[in-house]
Amino acid sequence: MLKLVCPYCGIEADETELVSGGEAHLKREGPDSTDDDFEGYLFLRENPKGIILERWRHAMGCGKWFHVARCTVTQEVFGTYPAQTLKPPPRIMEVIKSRRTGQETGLNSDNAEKFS
Amino acid sequence: MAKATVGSTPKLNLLDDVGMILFRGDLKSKTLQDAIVEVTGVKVPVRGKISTEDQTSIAWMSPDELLLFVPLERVGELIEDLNHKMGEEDTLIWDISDLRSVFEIEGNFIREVLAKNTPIDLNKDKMRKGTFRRTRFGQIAVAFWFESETKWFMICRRSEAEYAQQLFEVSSKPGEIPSVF
Repeated sequence: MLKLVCPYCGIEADETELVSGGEAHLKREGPDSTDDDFEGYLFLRENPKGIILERWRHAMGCGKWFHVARCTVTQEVFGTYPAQTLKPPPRIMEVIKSRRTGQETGLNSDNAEKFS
Repeated sequence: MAKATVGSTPKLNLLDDVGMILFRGDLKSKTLQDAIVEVTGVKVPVRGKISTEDQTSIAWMSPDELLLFVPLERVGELIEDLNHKMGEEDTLIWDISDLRSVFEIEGNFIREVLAKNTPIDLNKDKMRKGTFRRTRFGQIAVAFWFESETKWFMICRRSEAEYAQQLFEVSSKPGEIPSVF
């Protein structure tokens, strides 16, 4: 069972009080984008074995969206942060770096930019 | 294994004289905090809490939302006053008395009955007096707070009130409540 601290309420919410919103920090492709970019924005999602940044909604609570950094292998949660940001804040990155090194981070060239 | 409790079980009663006002705005704003205190006589609660004076309570719902519990007959007048006091500031003040139901729960073993249907930590050091906890009860979104160990309150959407009542009844049958807290 996943338990996440809602950054707005400050309470530890159970998975059943939350709704998952999929991958975080997507870049929206507008009318001027190529078909390939637009398809990627709409449909193509990462499914990493390792660290993932996700959107969650505190549905049975304040109703706000927030972001989570967690690991899909160990179910470890690195932290949660408000949704009004384009990339994870430094404090989240520090936690990830303190617990993972090199290969273990699960970062590849596709998603590395999100974390930098 | 916890032993089953004996004796009376808690009862759930629908309160039909509670007026509710939804208040959305910037909770950090001085105008808002002053307006709330002047009109209701109750201070804006801090995160996750409910503050009460006399017959009026104010609950913290989210970073931009409060819920005011007031006597039903005063709702119209209070909304007018609040709107007046807020002036040009961006707010939504709305009478939701008919959209939510408030229940009073009275009796012993309330924590035990609620714990059967909600994922939150109901231990006495976590769920304290003054805490306003939004969560789920069975399958519906609710919020809990209490006045004393034997008198709790719960709100839910009015359309889901019947579900809440039936679920509570089933969960509070005599002889089926384990003594935990």
